[in-house]
Amino acid sequence: MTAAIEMRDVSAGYAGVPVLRGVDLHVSTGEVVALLGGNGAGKTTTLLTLAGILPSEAGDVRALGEPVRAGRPHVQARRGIALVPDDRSLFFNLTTRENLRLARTPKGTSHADVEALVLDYFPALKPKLGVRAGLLSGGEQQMLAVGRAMVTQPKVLMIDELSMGLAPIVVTQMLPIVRRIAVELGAGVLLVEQHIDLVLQHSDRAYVLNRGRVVLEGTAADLLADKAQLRSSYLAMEVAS
Amino acid sequence: MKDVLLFAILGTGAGAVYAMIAMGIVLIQKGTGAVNFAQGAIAGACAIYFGVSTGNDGTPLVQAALTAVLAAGLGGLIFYVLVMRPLRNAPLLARIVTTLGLMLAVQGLASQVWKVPTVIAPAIFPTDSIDVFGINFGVDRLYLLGTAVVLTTVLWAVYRFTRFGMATRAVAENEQGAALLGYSPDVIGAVNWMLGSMLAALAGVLFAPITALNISTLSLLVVPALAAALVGRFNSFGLTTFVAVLIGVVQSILTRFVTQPGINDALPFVLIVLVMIASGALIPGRGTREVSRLPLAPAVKGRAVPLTLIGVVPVIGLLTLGSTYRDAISTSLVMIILALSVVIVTGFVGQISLMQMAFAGIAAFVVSKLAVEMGIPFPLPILIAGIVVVPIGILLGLPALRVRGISLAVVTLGAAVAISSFVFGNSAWTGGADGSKVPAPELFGWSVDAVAHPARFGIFAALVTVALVAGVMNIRLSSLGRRMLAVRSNERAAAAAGINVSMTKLQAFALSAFVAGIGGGVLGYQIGAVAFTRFVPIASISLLALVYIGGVATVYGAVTAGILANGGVLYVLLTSVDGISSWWIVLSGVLLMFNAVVQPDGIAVALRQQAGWVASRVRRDPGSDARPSADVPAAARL
Repeated sequence: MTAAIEMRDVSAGYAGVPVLRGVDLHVSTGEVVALLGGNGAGKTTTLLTLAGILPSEAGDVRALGEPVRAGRPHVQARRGIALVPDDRSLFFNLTTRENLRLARTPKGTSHADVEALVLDYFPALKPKLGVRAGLLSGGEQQMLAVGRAMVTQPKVLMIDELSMGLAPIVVTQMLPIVRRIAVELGAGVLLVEQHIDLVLQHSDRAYVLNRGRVVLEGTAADLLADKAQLRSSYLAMEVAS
Repeated sequence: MKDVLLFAILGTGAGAVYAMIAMGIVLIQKGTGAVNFAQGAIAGACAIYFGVSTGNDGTPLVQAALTAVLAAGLGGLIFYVLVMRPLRNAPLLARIVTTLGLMLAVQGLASQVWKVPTVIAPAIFPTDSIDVFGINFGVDRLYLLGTAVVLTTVLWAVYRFTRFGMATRAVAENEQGAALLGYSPDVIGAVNWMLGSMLAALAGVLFAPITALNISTLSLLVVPALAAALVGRFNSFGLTTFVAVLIGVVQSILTRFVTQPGINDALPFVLIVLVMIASGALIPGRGTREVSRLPLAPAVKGRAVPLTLIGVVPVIGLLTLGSTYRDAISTSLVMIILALSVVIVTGFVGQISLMQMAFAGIAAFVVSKLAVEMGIPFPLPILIAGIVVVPIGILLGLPALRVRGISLAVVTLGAAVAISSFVFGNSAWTGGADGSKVPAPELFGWSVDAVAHPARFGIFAALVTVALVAGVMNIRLSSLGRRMLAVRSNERAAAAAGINVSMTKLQAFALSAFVAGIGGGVLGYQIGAVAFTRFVPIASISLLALVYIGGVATVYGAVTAGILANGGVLYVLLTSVDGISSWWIVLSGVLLMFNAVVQPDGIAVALRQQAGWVASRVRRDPGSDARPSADVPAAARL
């Protein structure tokens, strides 16, 4: 398996306030990796750095084998690196179909085919194609956000807080779909999540961030098996500091 | 009835021109979130270029039209890349003020290059008259209207069905979201700026044969266009064009049946206000990070020293320098007062007002009436005029309770235009071009005449200035000042904290109008004859521009604005350079754009930060090279 995304000793932050300090992380193609951690651990910062929105201050950030240049997120998007941000970034004034149409399909594929594929994954969107995105429910919006990212047939898919504002039942429906995307598209998937048990059941591996450092990493099965260690990696440093 | 129809048809010509300018505004707003106040000036400059080059120089029509349209497109592109792109995430005020700067620059440039040409541009469309149901009119109106309708349809289709159009709508709503789908906001912004500018140019070229080629009036074409774009919510091309044509038609009919001057110009304002009140908070802002940074509003540390300096330095100058500089000092002092009114309403409360000089103008005319007709002795008329303007300020501040940001700027510009043509343009009231006389002021038997005794008048102006600067400093430090800053940064949060947002805004408008009124009153005594030309909308725009350059949210910004003002101290210093005075308005426009990009908080705040850095260097180990940490020193006191 080749590396879809790779971070080596990466530090990043906002206006001189460091958030990530020496993060090492990689996601291979076809793999689902969870990125866990408490508030302020640096999860979203990691995704923004990978998407080319936030510049890294030190270290090496690569996606699909090439260095990520910050400040030009649209270039990353065109290379097949898709980010579903935590605000979902839907265009509320455009219809569901227009939101899907906006995403560029890879060369040689027609929009109709890709749209059919997305509706196959998310049949709930079918009756809502002509509805403005702003009028969709929270769950439908999240489906549209993920579906829109799928249109580009990404090689890297990063989803920030898939479960934010959603009922647990919706989340349990969506996570298997994310797994399907990884398998069928061969994409490397990086999921930022707060629902630890739920996401680990659908991931291959996971990283736990605390205060901008990777404090624990391992296969999802190992982490699930040793809950005590997982809990301490979350809590211990906060208690100790 | 025939007359009504005839004038309605004649009005469609102007209406079609408004529509094209308005569609350009909509394009630019969609693509970059900025409202281009310079659309009228661009149209005007292109109209004049077209008229002069075809009428005087014999350039072929098509060549001149193409040159105008392409040059405007190139200009729009350059302006976007150099100015608007760096400001994409700048405060709304910065973007608004920047396009106002472009308006000043284009307008100043056009009047420098072409003055007021007397040439009449040759007709582009056939001018044969046709007879429909007994109404005889020029067929060119139909061509104009047809052009507008065709353009509207094309733009509607492009923005509805093409990927570029969808991407533009997407960028307007959520820039980062669009970038995450692979669209470059820069490319989309640049293309829309180009197209918008080209539409303005086309409007200008088509309008040239049927209008007077005067850049000052043509620049104000932006007002009816803005009204139409606003009703179309910067979104619907069809509605925008419909409203634009409607405005043209109704204006035309009004000119036939109403003799009251200025009624045409008041109409767009009335329309804007009605739509605003009806649609309330639904007017679009920008979908992106609207909570972007606001200009810094540093509190004043230690008032005694700055107040003494503001009072003493001009007095020393008045007593020692020659008459040219004495006049310049007085002018700067008056401008500081007027600038303070902007600091209160725009700096502290964030309400963009483009009608401050209108308040000043009303006050100046009231001073004239009080002093001449009622014989009230100096300086009482100034105070009374200040008080008289307060209810007008509150009244015109009312739309601000429901209207924000760009829309409020449009409403206040509309108010300025309406007051300028409806009130100031009424020569029975204001004395027409000669203006209204204000008698030479006299205090306890002493003449304080600005001409005969410039030093005495200057000292009086310095006293008023110091008092008002102290007052505004106190407002900033009072609980009212904190409420104002809270409203400025987040109305909902302010309300949640128990602040009466509406009351705070109205207090700001009242105080601001009072200060502007005092400024207008002092100005009245200084110039002796109050001519309305000083209080036209462009004067309000220049005032806001100057204060923004200085630093809109601090009294030192007002002081800087006074020094920079036309006819002020710096102006007189620089006019020793040959010919610079006639370029002053162009320079201030360019300076405004430049400043918005490199120093969005204004010169005064930048100077203070530099001073703070120097002080920290002096206090510390001289070898240490600690830089000032961004904006922290001033921001910490915010």
